[in-house]
Amino acid sequence: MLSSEKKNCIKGLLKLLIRGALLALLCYLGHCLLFDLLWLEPDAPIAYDISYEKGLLKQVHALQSKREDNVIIFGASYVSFGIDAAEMESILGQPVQTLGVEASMGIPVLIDLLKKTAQPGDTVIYMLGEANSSAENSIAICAALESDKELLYSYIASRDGLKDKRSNLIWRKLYALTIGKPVIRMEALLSKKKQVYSIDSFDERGNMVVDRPGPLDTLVIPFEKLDMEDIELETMDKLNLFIDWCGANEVNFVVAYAPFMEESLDNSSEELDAFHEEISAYLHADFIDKPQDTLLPADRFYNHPSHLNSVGAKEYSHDLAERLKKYREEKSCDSSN
Amino acid sequence: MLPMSVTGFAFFRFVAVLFLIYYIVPKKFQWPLLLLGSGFFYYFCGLNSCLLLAGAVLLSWGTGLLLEKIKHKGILLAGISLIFLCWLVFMRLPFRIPLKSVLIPAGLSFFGLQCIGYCVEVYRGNAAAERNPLRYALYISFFPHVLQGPFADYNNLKKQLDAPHDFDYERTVQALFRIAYGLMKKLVIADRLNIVLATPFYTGEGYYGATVLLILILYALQLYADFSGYMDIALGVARLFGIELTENFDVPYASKSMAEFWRRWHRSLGLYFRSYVFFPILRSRPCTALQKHFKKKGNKYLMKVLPLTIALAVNWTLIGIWHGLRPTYMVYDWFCGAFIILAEVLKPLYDRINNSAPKFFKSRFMDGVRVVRTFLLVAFSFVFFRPETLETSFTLIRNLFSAPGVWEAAQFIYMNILDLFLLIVPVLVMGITDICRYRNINICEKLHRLPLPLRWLIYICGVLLIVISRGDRGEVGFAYAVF
Repeated sequence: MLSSEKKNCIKGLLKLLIRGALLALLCYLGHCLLFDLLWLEPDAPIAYDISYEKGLLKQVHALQSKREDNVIIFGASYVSFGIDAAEMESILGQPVQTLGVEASMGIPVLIDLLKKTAQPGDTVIYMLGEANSSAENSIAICAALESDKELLYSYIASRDGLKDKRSNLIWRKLYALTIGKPVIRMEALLSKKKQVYSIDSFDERGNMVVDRPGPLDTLVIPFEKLDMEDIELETMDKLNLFIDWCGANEVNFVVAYAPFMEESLDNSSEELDAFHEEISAYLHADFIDKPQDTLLPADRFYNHPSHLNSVGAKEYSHDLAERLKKYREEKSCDSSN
Repeated sequence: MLPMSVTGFAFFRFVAVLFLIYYIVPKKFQWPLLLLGSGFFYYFCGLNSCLLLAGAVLLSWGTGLLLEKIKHKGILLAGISLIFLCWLVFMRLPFRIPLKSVLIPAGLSFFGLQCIGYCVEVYRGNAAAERNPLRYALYISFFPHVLQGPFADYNNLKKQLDAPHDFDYERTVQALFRIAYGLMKKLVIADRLNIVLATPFYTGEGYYGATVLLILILYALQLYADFSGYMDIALGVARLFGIELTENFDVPYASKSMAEFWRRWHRSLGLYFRSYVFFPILRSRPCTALQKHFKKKGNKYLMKVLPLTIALAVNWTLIGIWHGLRPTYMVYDWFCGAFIILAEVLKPLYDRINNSAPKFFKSRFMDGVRVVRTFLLVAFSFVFFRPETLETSFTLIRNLFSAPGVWEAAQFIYMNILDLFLLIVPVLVMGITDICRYRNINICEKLHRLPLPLRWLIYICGVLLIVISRGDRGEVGFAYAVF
């Protein structure tokens, strides 16, 4: 028989355990509820309505709409900064759509979105540069998809690891809802350059149209030589799977190089050739150019060694469209032969 | 094997299991269970560390027994010297670095001083030597304080460790509160500020004027949150087992002078050095001879100030050595010591000024000014504490006075706004809690009087605040763990 003292002790411990478990459960539910209220609920507050990331949603909505065959160019931020859609459309005679606004979002999410929106007859161009991240900044992606619950749900459901990042998502949303906008205003005050990191920089299809004048004013730091070490093979493997998917769905897939700044690329022509050979052997897709074709002087860049200004974007897009046109002509010649 | 982090899940699983068994087993097995648990906890610091701990325990236990039988200063000095030598070789000498990877004497600075303190207490006749080596081992290795303190008074802790403990629901809830509060301070405030402050303290270059001041103020917050956070966890965990450890912090940033700051900051270290270094020196033959000499000459000022200065200088030099033989630590401790000595030397002048307009100088406004002045002085002193080299310290000091840097400070806040945003609520909570403590308001009691739903809502909000503000950044070690 247990003494009454022991009984009291066990009773107290049980009370503590039950209350502790209840508290843990309530905290877990509170955490889930807060996450749902801030992100998932249909009436969840919109915090990123003016954010640059929202450009992605415009791009996805444009691809989801009823449309004719598009040329879709996807990749990191150099896609938005480098493509002058109007210039390309005037040469190709078909709509040009960009997909991707910043490197941190990673390539896998863009592949997933393309699988949902690309249609037979589209031409998908992967813009290959130094940013090929397979990791994802889930906050940036959720911020972009925030107002389209269907896309947001499907993204969250598709990512197992996102459960662990719920706390980050909660506080980032709280931040955006409270002091985020005043901080953005302060950012505009502090920056000497015109602010392009806003939803206003994009047209209704999500192509960047904001005027980006003048040469680059930041310090140019030559990045390491462009070689296979810079390329994330995990992303390339995912791209290869996507290329197979494109083949099976009658979507044309080609690779084009992103713009490189002459002053910051430290490779000799032979080294660039060697790199091109290696990467084109790795990716199961046609390349429509070589890295040497996309070298541009520093005065064509805006605020980063891979972000083109308006003049640079027009020039690069013109050349890209011409190369695509030539590639298509050669391809049709080959197939008719 | 990695040491078990006191902020990790493994540690709390271990504490939970130990806690449950502790109150289920017969009371006579409670202390052996704690010893077993402490051994298990310390085992995660490495087998070599365990051997060192066991060695230090056996050595000081044996010395204690000998001292009780033969009260000879030589035995005491031999015992202390051996422990001190161990500590010097493993922790403080420059050539310890290659050894450290093999032998990780985690917590040696803390348990080494505990061992020395015990021997001194036995020698002075303030404590009876412990006959049972296992009971003594528990006093030294009690897991909540073995790595970073607080230093415990032997008689007080031994009495508690030997006594049987009944489960007490209220005490347990209070302990859990304390642990949660410590976790908030460490995981949310200290670790987040660690991200913000890592770069500025690397070389000290590129930060000027107000930015340096802001960095030092933020570091003062970080260090306080880090160290007092650990203490809250340690005290909370000990309280779970019915053991009350010494409070190590008493609202230090409410101090009105440097001396008061050191009575409120890391109190157990201050008490230790006061008891085993400062007073013995003050009562030593040379100091008493000095006192007598100036008394004869009728110079009351020098009779008081000179021995005090000598005792303080030795005291602060030894604290500097305890912190580490790194020049920055030595300069830091001398800086603190110098201000305390200066305050003693200039005391007659201060008294005269204060008495010239007592209403003004004793007003609450002037108290506030003194608190701000002391806080800024303490924050400034950390310029010698945090950087790895004196070169970085002096770069920061030079930059502090070379340009106003107000615009850069705004930019610094802007660059770190996402991290600083997370700190707003936790720092407010910490500030309010400290104010309540300063005014002797028991928050736990106040909370307990609230209606149940409101109380539970506060609990849930508290836990969510920790979980959400912590985010998913990696684990950061404790700042004081290096000592």
